[in-house]
Amino acid sequence: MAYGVPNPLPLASRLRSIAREEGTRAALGRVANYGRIRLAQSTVGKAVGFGAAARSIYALGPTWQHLAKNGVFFGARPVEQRHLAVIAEASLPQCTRYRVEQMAGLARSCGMGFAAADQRDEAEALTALQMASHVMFYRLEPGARTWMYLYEARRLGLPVLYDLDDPLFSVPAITGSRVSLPEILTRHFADAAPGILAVMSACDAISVSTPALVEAVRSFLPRPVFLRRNYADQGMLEPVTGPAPVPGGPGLTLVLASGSDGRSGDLAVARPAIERFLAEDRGRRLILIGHGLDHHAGLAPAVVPQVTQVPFLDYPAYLAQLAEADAVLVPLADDPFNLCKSAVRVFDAASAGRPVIASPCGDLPAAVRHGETGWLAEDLSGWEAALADLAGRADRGRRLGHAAREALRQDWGDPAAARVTDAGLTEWLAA
Amino acid sequence: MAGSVTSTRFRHVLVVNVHFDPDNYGGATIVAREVARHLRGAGMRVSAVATMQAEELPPYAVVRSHRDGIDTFRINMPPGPAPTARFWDDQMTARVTQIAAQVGADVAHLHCLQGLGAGLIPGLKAQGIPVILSIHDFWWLCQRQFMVQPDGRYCGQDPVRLRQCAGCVPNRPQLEERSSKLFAAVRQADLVTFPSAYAHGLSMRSGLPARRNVILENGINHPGPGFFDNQAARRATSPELTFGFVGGPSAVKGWPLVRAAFQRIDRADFRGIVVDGSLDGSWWRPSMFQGMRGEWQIHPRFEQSAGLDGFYASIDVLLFLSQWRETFGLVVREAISRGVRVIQTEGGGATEHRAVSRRLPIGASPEELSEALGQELRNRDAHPAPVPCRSFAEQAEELLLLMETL
Repeated sequence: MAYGVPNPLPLASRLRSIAREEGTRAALGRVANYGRIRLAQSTVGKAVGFGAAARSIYALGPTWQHLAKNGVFFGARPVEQRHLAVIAEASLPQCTRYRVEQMAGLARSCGMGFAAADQRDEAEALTALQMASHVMFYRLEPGARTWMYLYEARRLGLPVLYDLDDPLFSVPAITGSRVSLPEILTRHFADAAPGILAVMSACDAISVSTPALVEAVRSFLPRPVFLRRNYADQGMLEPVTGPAPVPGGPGLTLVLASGSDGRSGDLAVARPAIERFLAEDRGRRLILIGHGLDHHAGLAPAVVPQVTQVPFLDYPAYLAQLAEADAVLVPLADDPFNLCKSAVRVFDAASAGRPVIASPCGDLPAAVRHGETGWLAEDLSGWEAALADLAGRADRGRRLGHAAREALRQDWGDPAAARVTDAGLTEWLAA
Repeated sequence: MAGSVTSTRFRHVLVVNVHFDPDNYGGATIVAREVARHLRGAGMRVSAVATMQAEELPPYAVVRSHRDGIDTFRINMPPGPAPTARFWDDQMTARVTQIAAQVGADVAHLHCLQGLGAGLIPGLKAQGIPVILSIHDFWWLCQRQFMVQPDGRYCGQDPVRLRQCAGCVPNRPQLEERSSKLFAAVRQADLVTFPSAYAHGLSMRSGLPARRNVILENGINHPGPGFFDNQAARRATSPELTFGFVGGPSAVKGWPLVRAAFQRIDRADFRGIVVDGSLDGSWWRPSMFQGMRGEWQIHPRFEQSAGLDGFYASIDVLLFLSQWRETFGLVVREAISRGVRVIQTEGGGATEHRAVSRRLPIGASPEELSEALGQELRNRDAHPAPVPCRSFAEQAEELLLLMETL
């Protein structure tokens, strides 16, 4: 089939189409840019100096041109020292802890230096890149700054890894989630997915936190995808002191933590069991940590007096909050988003020496030995059975908690262990 | 490249100068880069640190470039006073020591630190890195760097006494603070080198507390193969004597004197070439030669690796009329080693060579320079024999030997 050259559209029609496809702001920007170019080419424009180049959208733009003009555009990749630079979207402390700070542990165990910078801090991020042999972008979204970091990494000849711990690139995972997000937020995340996939596509390899996430990435990208699970770093293996179990003391206490909005959808699977458990003994308590579980997580009014809501403070305070309870609840709805969930809540509980009662969803089964380090509750009857088991234990579940802590130390304390990190990733870091 | 000498104690040298490749700007930068290149040739790993001024980038952001086996880390200076006025910057020190640690440098060779700050010396020492400081001008003694007063006249102090500097600067307490901090930093350097006996003597007499100090004469790049053939061919085909001037059109480099002298001269059968040493070709415009006799042209800047010989083959007389006593005078050595005559101002390190040059006192009148120019024009073919000068390779070899003694 022969293709003809399309007739140029009239300007107004083109603008309408840009406004439709890219938004009004983009269309107005094009108009301004077009006007600038036309004015710069005019006699009047030249006379008033309007032909001067507009400011680059990249902070490095003029520097790149300077290097190119002087024949030193490309920087040789350091070969004598291996040093990983991480540029991260660091607005979520928990994510930063597991995906950025724990990457430092892996890098060091591989004999590499390490530096991390918040992507908003251009001075530190660019400096980290200059001294790196490898670079990892954590959760960066498309935008001038991300493209600048990526281009700079290419200029310096650095291999680039993209890391993430949620299926933010997957519209099926986002729309299939059963969390109770407002429609506008779901649409926002779904609209952001292609952009995040574009950034991932521009990188050499991807690392993710769970096996399901590995598969999700593979269904989109022909790139090497490595599993890098979260692990128990030194801070998590430090002893956390909680109250000793007091037989006949206050009623059993459960705790449930949430770091994001709309988690009440996850709670649905266990809500009736929890309500019954609390109603059976008015001395029993439920502590809700963090946000996303407002209005007492929608629990029945009768048990609300037994529910305490506390804010998330910092990580040590959070572990101490977990240790205040006898068991940690991790209910998860069975959906494509949660399928990619890591076992960090289980690790947090084990670090505090407490067992979990968790849905067998995502990567959680890999970290819970049912009946030994906690309970996996498949459905409502599973939740009721687990809570009954807890209530029947004179030690209030402490033996399971200690076993969980020991399993955490033995199985999840080495960032380079095959269980935690794909050998392919350590090889990638060594290359 | 440096010959058989190499370092047995050190593996990786961090070279620090206010400018470095790709911003090859000024004599000290050329020396820093060429010596670094020869250290690299002698088997050392070399990393360089310099500054840059990119208003789009945040302060203290670093950009790396690479040439000839040397990584250059340029640190973006914060907006504010001129580099000369920046004598101490803790954030800059932190950045440089971060780079030193990360690249694994085990010795530092510091050159001009304006813009970077003298805090680098204690900063690097605190990391256990021995420091060699090479002095290239009088920034360590003079807040105005070149001992040139605000009215453009050379101050001529010997020794330099701070109390006499008070009229030259706006803030006397800052002058004292500056001197105190810079001297305290110099005291921590393991070795301080000077490019000439003059620079060494004046600095010592002025109390610069360099615990160990030596004269480490700068080198030059020797004329390449074919230079003298090209020079002879040009001289054979070009009937006019050609004068050359390297530097900006500033009073400190003596341009107003040169211009006035060429406006007064009574003949025009010669050519003049000025080299625009600026990074962006902005120093010179044809209108600057207005009223001058002879045919003048602007020569674009050249690098040591390309264009140096071409320029010197095209001139017969170098005009070096700096209005301060320079510590070395790289272009004077480049000229005399290529059989190019020199008219130069008297004194300083620029005259510590074995060639016969025509000399004028600092502050000489245009008439005196016109007379000297006339004498050269009357002896059009009196081309001198080349005078051997020390090479950068030899300078690097001596530096390597000095490193062994740290």
